[in-house]
Amino acid sequence: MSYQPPQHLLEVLQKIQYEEALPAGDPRYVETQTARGSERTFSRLAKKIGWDPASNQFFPPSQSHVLFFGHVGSGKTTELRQYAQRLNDSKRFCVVEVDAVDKLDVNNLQYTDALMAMAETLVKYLNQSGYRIDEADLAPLHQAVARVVTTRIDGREVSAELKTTAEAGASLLGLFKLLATFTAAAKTNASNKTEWRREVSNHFTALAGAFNHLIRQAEAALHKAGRAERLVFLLDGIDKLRGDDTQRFFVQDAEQLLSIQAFVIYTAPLHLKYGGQLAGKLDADLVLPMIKLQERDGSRCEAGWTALRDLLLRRIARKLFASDAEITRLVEHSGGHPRELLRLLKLCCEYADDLIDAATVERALSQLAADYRYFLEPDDYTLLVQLDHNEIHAGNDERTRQLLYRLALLQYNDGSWRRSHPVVRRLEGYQRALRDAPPVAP
Amino acid sequence: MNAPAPTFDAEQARLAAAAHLQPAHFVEFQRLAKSLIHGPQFQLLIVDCRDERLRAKVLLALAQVQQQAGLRGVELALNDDLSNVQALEARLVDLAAEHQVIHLLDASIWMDATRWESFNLLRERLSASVRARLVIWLNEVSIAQVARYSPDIWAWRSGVYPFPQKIIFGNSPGIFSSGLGIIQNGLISSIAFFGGDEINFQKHVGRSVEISDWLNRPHVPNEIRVPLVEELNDLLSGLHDIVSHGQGGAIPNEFYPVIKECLIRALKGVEMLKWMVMRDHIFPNECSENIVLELRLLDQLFRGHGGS
Repeated sequence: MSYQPPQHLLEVLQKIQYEEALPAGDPRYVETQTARGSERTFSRLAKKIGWDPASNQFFPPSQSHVLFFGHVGSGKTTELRQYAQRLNDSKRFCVVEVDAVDKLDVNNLQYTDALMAMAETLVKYLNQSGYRIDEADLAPLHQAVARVVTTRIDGREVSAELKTTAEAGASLLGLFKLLATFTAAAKTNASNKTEWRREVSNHFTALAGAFNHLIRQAEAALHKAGRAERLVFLLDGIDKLRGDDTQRFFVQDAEQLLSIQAFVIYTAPLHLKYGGQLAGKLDADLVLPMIKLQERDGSRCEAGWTALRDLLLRRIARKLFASDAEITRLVEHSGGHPRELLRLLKLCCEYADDLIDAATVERALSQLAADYRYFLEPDDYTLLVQLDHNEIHAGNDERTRQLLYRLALLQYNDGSWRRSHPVVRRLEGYQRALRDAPPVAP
Repeated sequence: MNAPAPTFDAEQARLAAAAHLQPAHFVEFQRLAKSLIHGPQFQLLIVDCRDERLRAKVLLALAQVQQQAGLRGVELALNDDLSNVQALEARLVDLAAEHQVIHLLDASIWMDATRWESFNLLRERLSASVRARLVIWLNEVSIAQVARYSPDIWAWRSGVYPFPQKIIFGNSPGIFSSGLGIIQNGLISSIAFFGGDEINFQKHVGRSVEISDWLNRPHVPNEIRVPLVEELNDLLSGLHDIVSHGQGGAIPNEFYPVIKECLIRALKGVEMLKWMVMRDHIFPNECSENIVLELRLLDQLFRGHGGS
């Protein structure tokens, strides 16, 4: 049976969940590449790991660590899942998705935890998919991890089960148990977490080497089975690290990340890109752009309008709108941000009884604008007006970064141009700043 | 297609509960209640309400709605019993096992920038382990702090629901003035009719009339009017309490229902004044004749019983 969007406003309301990223194949997913101006984003990503989707040429580098930036809620995870599907379908790659939020403690995450989580997810995948890796090839990593998790802390004895697993011959299942012991401690903030991390850190070169060896063996097994030639780790949720942890993970510990000889894609917060501290250690030029409703010169971007309209109408039946004008107005005021469009839709569902009409939409727009009023300062409005009327991207300061982070300022086409959020332009603070702004030179 | 099945009773409760609130708060209450009842299991709802008495009223009204919708609610006051945000998280996990709605009170006081930052880091864990509607009661300043120090929580907010206590005066001084005149007449009538034997009753009515007189003067700045209307509202509520508890002194018992009725009408009149100015603010062209009509009915009621 074909997919039907919710037919009642209360059902629409019930199904709007901001924390939900759409899995590949979800009927609510809308293709947005043309609308974002990101047709080349997937192609660029694929080329960074050696594959040209157009010609199917494949010359993989030894490793590649790619950061994938985007606005909060702009659809990074949803988009990456689509990319993962395409990479998997190519038979060139096998994508191993590591959900940092689910597997680790993103409130206190270090490269050591990420490494172990990547290893655990890979071993689990190999085991569940029935791949065989020789004991000799598993042994180096098995021994290295066993040494970490059997470290006696404060004189406490290691559990008998863990000891047995550590001392047994190397197997995928045994290795998985050892790795899972570590990641569980990292996730639950167990008392031994710090000591174990120190152990990983002290023996990192050996551990990374053992992991790299396993990766090569896994790739050989995948290749032999005709499944793929290279592994790609998709480390999702890293964009949710706290400020200090983000800096430590991507800046201070970049060398450790780069010692993993694999293809790794990390989701990353947009403000990191413009903080100016990445300094070329990691590949940091991929941004998931916003869906465009207009081009830089102000002309209408039809693909953007179509995509957002489709996106909306997969969340709500068309008959629940009084006319197309209401749909248009909601799309227009979303600024091209999918979550903001859903937020407006939710507001409409809260205000309307059974039909979304012009008055309902107007109230929803005012309410969303009022949300921004809570945190915008007078100087923010001045800056927004200035940015809206200045064609030249003159760089980012802390105030601009904060506006980007809180979506008062949206950027398009890989950040080459920016506009204030359309609902913010409704606020009296913005209007006043606009009146007070010096005239723009012709 | 019809609305999902369990909604009818809950919808009735939502409308009934809203009737006990000031008209100015109808819309926000309806929005909030709708999201609580019909929104997903996990939600972060932010309520902007700085006035404790108003908060208590809204909580009471929400409790009725929650009960009717089969949602178990609980209030968690943030205070020194909770040493840090981790303790708060543990408490929330415990409460979510038994409750579908958790109201977080006094967060504006308990939370500071550091705690908001820590709370921000809980977002993913909260969504996984606290599958409940979290209603966070804040004031305007602390909402700005959420956006600044808990940007991820802010990004997942299910809604912000303002319950302003401050009245915004509109552009209809004529209607406002005539409305006050009607209320004042009613109050004077009630003194004449009931005699005002009981000291509190008389004092309350006297002050109410005095305020009405002040409010009715021309060219009174809005900044002065606002607290006076609030006080008038409080006084009328106090009078209603006195009568409800049978403390009207020498007032004959059989008159209590009538007095109560009068006071309810008078309160309604004040609330309608507020509503009127609010509506004028939102819809400048809409000055409802119904409001004036209602105030005239109130006057007639007073005159009918008091015969001034």
